[in-house]
Amino acid sequence: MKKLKFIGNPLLQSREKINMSSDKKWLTLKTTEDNEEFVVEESVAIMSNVIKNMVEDGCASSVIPVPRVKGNAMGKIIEFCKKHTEESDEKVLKEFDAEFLNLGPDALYDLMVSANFLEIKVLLDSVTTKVADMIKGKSSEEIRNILKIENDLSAEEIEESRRENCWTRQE
Amino acid sequence: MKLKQERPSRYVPSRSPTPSPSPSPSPSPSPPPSPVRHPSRVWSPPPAPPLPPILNDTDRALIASRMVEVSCPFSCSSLGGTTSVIASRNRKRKADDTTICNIPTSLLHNIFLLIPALTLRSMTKLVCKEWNYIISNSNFVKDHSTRNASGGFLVQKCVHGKTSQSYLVEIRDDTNAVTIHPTNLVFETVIATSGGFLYVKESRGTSKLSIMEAVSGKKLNLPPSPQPRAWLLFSGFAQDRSTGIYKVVRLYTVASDNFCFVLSLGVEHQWRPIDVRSFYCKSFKTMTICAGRYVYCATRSGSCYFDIITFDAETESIYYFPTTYVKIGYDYTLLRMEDSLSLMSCNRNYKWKVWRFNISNPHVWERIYKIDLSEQRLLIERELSKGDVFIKPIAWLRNGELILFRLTYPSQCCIAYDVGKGDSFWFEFPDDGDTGKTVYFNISEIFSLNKP
Repeated sequence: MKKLKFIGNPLLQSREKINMSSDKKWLTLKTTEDNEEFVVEESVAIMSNVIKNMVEDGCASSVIPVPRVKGNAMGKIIEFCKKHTEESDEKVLKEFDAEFLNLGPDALYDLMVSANFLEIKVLLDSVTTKVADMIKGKSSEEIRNILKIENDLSAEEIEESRRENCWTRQE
Repeated sequence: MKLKQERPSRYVPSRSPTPSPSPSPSPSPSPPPSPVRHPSRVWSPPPAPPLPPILNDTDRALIASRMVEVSCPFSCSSLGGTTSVIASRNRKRKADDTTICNIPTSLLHNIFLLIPALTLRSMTKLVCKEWNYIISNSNFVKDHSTRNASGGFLVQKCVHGKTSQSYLVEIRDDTNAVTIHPTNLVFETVIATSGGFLYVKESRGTSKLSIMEAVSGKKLNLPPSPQPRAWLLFSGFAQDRSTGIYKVVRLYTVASDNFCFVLSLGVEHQWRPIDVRSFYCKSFKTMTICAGRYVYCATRSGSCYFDIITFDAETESIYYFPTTYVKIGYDYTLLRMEDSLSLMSCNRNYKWKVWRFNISNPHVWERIYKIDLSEQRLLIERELSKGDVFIKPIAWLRNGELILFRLTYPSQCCIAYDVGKGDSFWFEFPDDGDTGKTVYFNISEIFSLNKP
């Protein structure tokens, strides 16, 4: 079942009205994985380099199919882009980002991969910093637990690394 | 802001012509114009006995892994440009494809660039094979060390002239937290440091020289140095940036003849003489500072003439820059700042003027900073020591932004001052009970991931 999500003026009820407003151009982004459609202003959508190039090259019709991005990730991305196009105050944006990125590792992963695919540099930088912060203070065991990574290092490799770092205090 | 040195350098020793650079205001990467070379008598080595193989297998591996670029099957992108689209990998995907343990390599690369080297080396590497591989890759190492100059340095504590303990100190960029790790490096004197390596004399009385990596302590023994009948003027090591090879240089001089020997680490097993022009060196009081591609040797004569003898690792030549009189106060210190030489002068009043020697404009010292620590002085005198105390600059860290001072008494305390922000903090070394004289050496980027 197609779900139509309006991201824009909540007072506007119908799709026709959106399409006919002359001062703003609207695009529909359709995630092909789960067939969700998102209607956004063009100024918001072109925060993504991929979409920007498509629009500039003229190969974008009003509906743009977006592969490899899931519906909920797309929603979050659009929310992010919208906020960043509206606000220019650094402090407000920083607070927003901190709130926004308060997600679990899986959601962060989705966001990061999608931002990389759509080439949204600002979002990618923020998510990368967040993940780096998550890793920074932790020991390898904790990192593995949080990110659910299998430990496939052999015993000798671990021993060799420990020997190399013999001058550090044992954690 | 230039100093008052409008007159061209008159102080030219009569015997040798100075390099006459046409004032080329070109930015740094261009090498200075080549000096006029005298066809000086080339010193030929006496018939040497066949040298035993100096590099054993460990040493060979030690250098080989540094020299050879590991070809990386994964593509690494840097954060500066546009991020790349996900590279498809032929990796056996785990069952659940969309968990965070399946982050594409290029994204992992970007994440790791933001993590300080110490954490990367001790913890993050040990998480799983793939992360280990990424962090050990030499492309990544290069990328990381260009981004993160961690303000780390080595401290060598001397008690009554004998070295007792060395410490590696790291200062975090963001929080200014200081961590001090005791090390078990064993050496007698440090001749020079550059890029995380120490050029040391192993033990007293012997002429065993080696290059050590500061973090892990691995070392490479150098072949015995040549012994021409001349005085050793200076010795240092620098990196030829175009090939990545480190070269060690020793310059001897007698009368006005100069003999210079170069050894390329990992490539040569013997010191090789190079042809240098003769210049007359006015004094033997030298101070050697190795900064990236150049080895600067500043000779002092009288009170404040600094002639700079420079060895350029890339062109393997020696330049001599006589300096005109630099108007300075009483105490002066030469320090390495990033890749150039800086001079700090102080009139014992907690105010310093800082100059920098720019190799592309070698006859002028550029004045860059004026540092005033009079406010901190009151704090220091009140809290840290009773009575008159002076502080001496010992190192520039963080790409020339943080200057570290040492108190003359108590000598365990250090003050760091951030030139950009204007704030300062202090810390002290653990007092092991011996109140010996503490000697400091600066190595920037010691926590780089360069695997020896």
